[in-house]
Amino acid sequence: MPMRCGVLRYDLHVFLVIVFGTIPIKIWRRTTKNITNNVTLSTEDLLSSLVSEIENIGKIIYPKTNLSTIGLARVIDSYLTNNDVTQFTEIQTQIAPMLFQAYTTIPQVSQVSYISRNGLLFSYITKLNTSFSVFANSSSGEDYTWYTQTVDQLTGRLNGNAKKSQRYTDWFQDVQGNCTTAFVGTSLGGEDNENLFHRVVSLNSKKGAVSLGFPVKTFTGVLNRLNLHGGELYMWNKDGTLLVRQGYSLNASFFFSNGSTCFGKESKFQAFCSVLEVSGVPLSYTLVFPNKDRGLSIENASMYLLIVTMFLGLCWPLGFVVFMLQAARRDMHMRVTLINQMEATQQAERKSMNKSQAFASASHDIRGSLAGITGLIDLCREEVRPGCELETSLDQVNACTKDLVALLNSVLDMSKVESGKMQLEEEEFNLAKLLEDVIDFFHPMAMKKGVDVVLDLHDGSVFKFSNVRGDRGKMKQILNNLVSNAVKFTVNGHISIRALAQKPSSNSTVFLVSDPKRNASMFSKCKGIPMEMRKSVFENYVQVRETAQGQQGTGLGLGIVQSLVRLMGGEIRIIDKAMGEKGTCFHFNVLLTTLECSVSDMKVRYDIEAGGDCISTPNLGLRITTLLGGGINIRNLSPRLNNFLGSSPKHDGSRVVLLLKDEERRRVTEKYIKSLEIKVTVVEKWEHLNHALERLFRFSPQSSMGRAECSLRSRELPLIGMDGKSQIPRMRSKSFSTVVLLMIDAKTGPFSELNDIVEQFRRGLHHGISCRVVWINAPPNACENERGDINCSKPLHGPRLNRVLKMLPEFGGNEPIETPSERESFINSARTGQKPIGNPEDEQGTSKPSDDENILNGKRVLVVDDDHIPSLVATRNLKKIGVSEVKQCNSGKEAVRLVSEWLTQREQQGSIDMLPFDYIFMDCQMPEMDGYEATREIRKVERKYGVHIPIIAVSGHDPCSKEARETIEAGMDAFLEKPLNQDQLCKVMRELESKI
Amino acid sequence: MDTLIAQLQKQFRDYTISLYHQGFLDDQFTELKKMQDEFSPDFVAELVTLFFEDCEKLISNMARALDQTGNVDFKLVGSSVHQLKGSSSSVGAKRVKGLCVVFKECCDSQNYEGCVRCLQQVDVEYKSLKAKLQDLFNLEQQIVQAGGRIPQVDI
Repeated sequence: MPMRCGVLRYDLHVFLVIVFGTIPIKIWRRTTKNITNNVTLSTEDLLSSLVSEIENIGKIIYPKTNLSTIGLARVIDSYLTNNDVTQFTEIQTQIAPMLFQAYTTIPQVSQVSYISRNGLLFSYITKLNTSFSVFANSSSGEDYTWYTQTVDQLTGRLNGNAKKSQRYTDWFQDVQGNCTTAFVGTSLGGEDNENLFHRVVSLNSKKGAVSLGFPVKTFTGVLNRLNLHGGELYMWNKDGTLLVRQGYSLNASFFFSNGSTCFGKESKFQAFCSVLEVSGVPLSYTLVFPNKDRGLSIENASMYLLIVTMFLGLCWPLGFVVFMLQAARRDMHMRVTLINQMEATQQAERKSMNKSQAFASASHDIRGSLAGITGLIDLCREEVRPGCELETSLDQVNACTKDLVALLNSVLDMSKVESGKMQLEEEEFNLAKLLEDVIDFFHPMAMKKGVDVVLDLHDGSVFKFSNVRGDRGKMKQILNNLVSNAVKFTVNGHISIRALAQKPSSNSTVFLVSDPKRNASMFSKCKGIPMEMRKSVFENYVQVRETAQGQQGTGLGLGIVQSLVRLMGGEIRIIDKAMGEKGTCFHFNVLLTTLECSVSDMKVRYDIEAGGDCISTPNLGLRITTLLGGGINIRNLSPRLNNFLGSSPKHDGSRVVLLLKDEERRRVTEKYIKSLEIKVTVVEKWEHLNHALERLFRFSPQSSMGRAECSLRSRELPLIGMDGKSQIPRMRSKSFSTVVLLMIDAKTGPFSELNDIVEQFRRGLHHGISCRVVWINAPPNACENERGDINCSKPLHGPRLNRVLKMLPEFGGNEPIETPSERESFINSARTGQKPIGNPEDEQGTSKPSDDENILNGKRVLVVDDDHIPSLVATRNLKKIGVSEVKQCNSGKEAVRLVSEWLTQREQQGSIDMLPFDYIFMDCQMPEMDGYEATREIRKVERKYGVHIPIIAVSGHDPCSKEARETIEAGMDAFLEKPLNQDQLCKVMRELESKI
Repeated sequence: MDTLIAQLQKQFRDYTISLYHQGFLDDQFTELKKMQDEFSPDFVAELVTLFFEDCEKLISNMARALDQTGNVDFKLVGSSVHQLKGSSSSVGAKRVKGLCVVFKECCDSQNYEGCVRCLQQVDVEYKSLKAKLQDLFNLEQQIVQAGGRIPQVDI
């Protein structure tokens, strides 16, 4: 079918070519005709112009021969009337000078002669550019002879010897008579027999005649120079002597017979005959042109051209058609290949999809079976004798199953990502905390290998935007995967994780750039990832971990990380490191939304969270206020405090002394603290600590200022100062006193000695300088002293570092970072290697149950659920928190009916203010009319009356799922997960209440 | 007498804990227990009874739907499963709920064999739960009859 179409198209092409070909041919024909006409015309023009040119030449060449002859004749005549000249000598003496005068003055003249009646002759002639004289000195008789003699060129006198010359005077006899004529004849006495135009004028006295001769050659020469354009010119005098024959292109024979001229030629020609008078001599001439029809020849030529063009014009489309056919065939072939290829691709895709699906469903099945196995193991364990071998085996089996489940989950994740079903579950979380958590989790593991994990928060920008909305789980998965890889592959050296937030634009998104660095020291055997492997690292299944180590999502390689990062709108790559640096640097960025409700709100919340540790302390009020001003990243968020700091003249600045084992950590911590404009002294080895402290102490600004250096150096004062915690805040609220904060890693040296150094330093302090020590990794009970020293068993970075730094007066506090219980949890967690469970929000929730009891006192609530068990539970729950009336209804339709009925009733009574229900709890999935639909209906009804009943969605789905989002779109006010949980219920109700 | 009560109470406590440990029940059950007060002393029992009635009904519905080989209305089964899931989670029947999740997935992927297997499991599971709870309530009653207080069991 497409083939036929193609052929049709080419037919059309041919047709078009023919149609459009004929038009120019017609035009062409017309133009050639015009051209032919033009050519004929111009040929005629040429002919006439030639004629006129010839005539012009005839007129111009010897214009005044007649006049000059007559003039000369008159002069001689006048002379002769006086003297009768009969003797040659007289002629020679009297007439010859006059003749010579004429000879020299008249232009172009070549012969001047006087011929007397009796045959005497004297003439000057030009022969080969020299003048001669031809004369006959005796009258005609027996010895009538002509002589030729050279003359003096200047005077015209005869000189030299006279020679006899022949007589060629066919015209001489005629001239002797008294006649005035003009004719063409030979020159006198010239052997060369040159033709001259003769002009003869007889004298009035009848004694002779004067003749002037002009050369014919000059005239013919001019004519010969004429361009005849392929024609021929014949010219003759009346005797039939051919004077000019120019142009031999025709090869015509030419002859005279009976006084008429005849031309003989086979071909046709055109002739133009006329008479031309040259110096009085009539000459006939004929212009002959070949009579081939020029127009016709042009037409012929154009015909040839046309044929050639037609031929070409036909050949070209033919060639074109052939070419197109070939192209079409090729095109067709390609298409067929493409279609085949596409089909193959589709088939492959389908296959892969089916495989993925089968894979996913198989995974589900496996998970089901695994769940069964776990259950069965639990059952078995119940019956097994404790301590026997079977129990340990069972434990192992259990562990294996858990690993399997985790592995399966990551495989499921993978297939979810592949099928594009992976969705972000947005929730609010604290990024800084998350980072800290992740690193805390891996820190002990890394420390076991002798590798330090350092969190480098760079410029603290993460703190600024630490409260973000995003997918916490996936974020954690990414970090976990990268950090665990780093821990796994770094043999020695350190791992540093740098995070910073950037605002890509003015909208409220945080751009988290985080690059966990796998940094190995120069001596390490860690090679890093070679260049050529970098791309394949991100491919799936290239690096599948054999065990999942209990953490979800760590099972698959970097491929899943890449997918997740991309899902979160970022990109991950491996960064080139500078020469000499070993290890690998992964860099990734993700987009997270900062919480839109003004930053200060969130800040307050965060501070209260942190301050929650100190609720029991007496100076709570003071602290909270300073914290509100201070913010998290104190410098950046509180201009007020900055001003205060700047304007305080008494403030000398606190100092932090760092003694940390790991070089990188030292560097990072120092940089961070410096960025907060706190002075830092770094001590590299514990042996130097004493020295450094002493120096610091001696050059302490306080001491240089110090009055009575020794007197105040008593041991009691600082101790009292340190013990009397309650006094210090007051002092500080007046002016910041200097605090020296020592951060000492107990692993750098023997603890007891370190402790001694610190104690010594403490004792030597001035009044007004207080000292805080933060021990890192110190033996558990070693530093439980009254000075509020802190023992921290976790790496000091991130929020924890901030909390420690908050002890500095610049940031408004002198309290220890943690209340004892918190400290306990720190230590505990260090022992067990688990994360601290310090989630302040939970504590808050449980600490205030009494408030919740009455939150819904006296309210009336409608519970809509088709299933009566959840409905019952909800009712019960609501009643528990003080709801006075709960109405149950089991379908959406019923709910809509109830609400609208109530409203119409109320309207009739004229009091709409009273709502039918204070709250409606709406199940989402119901037969007939589901929760969304019902809500929309209710909202529609409400709009008429201008009221709004809060509707709380209750659903079995996740709070982050699509369904949950739909509830908000449908117009519901809040979302609760099934089964109803009292805490959650209270939280949501509180939020709603506060909104109202 | 006191020793009997104490013994019963201990038995009750152990039994309850074992139910939690074996994954029959979860926190939601505890929540329900908390809601039970002097105004409605039989709240949990009533609720659980209702739940089992529902279970029976829903399971027979689903069994009927799944019986029609080749023309199974997975949507119908799915909605029943959803309802069962809601009920079980409200009651705190952990195992039934867990099975319902798997069941729902089977339904969504229209996996007939999976559905049938799940249905059987659910049937077995809810019956065993029913038996266990029956025992529990019996124990409670014994305690009450003996004049003792039902102990609070903290998990």
